Amino acid sequence: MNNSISETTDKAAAAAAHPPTVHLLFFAAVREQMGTAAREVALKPGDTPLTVAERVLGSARSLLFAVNDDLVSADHVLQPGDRLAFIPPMAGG
Amino acid sequence: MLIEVTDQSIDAGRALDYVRHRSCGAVAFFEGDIRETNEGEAVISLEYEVYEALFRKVVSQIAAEIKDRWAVHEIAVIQRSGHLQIGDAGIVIAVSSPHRREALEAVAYLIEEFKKRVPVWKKEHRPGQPKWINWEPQLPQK
Repeated sequence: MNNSISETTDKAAAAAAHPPTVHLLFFAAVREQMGTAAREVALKPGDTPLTVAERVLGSARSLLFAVNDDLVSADHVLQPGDRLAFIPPMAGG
Repeated sequence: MLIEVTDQSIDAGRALDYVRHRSCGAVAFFEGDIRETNEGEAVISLEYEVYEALFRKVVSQIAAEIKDRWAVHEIAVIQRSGHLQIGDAGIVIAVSSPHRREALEAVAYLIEEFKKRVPVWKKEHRPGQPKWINWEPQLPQK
């Protein structure tokens, strides 16, 4: 019992010392506008690609999203440590 | 299957050699080159940017769709990244199959899907301001 309380306390202390984050990847025009190809940001409870894009970029208009290198919907719930890529309109070929 | 992203000139022969096989009477090939004009305006050069991890997944998915649909033997895709000049190849695709129709249709399908689905971006340098293709500036400056 004591052990479990102590573990919980330890986890809470660890979370406070290292708040959850997501790793952002920027490409092409978005990368240029952000002035960097990657950034770490704090993760808030319930965050999705849409909420992070609005907070970090100001808008999610015309973007697609990938989490850990898989395409996801804008309302996909993010987990601590996820790698979120903002994907501007593509121009392959 | 061969999927490659390179910042060096594409060796198209590598893609052709990769797909050729004794069982195949057909190899279909597509090369996308940098054109000197776009929408009636002169183009000086083109920068390619690739999200490689996702690129590999999406191209593999398109290849799986092709193998479900056509009796093809092998597929090779080589994509350029970096700064390309007029006449440089940006993309090379080769597909082999026992008979010509399958290889030709598979190459056409691959390049059409490629344009819609693969995470590749092009920055066009023209006289004046360079511009990312398909992108209108809209995000607030940070």
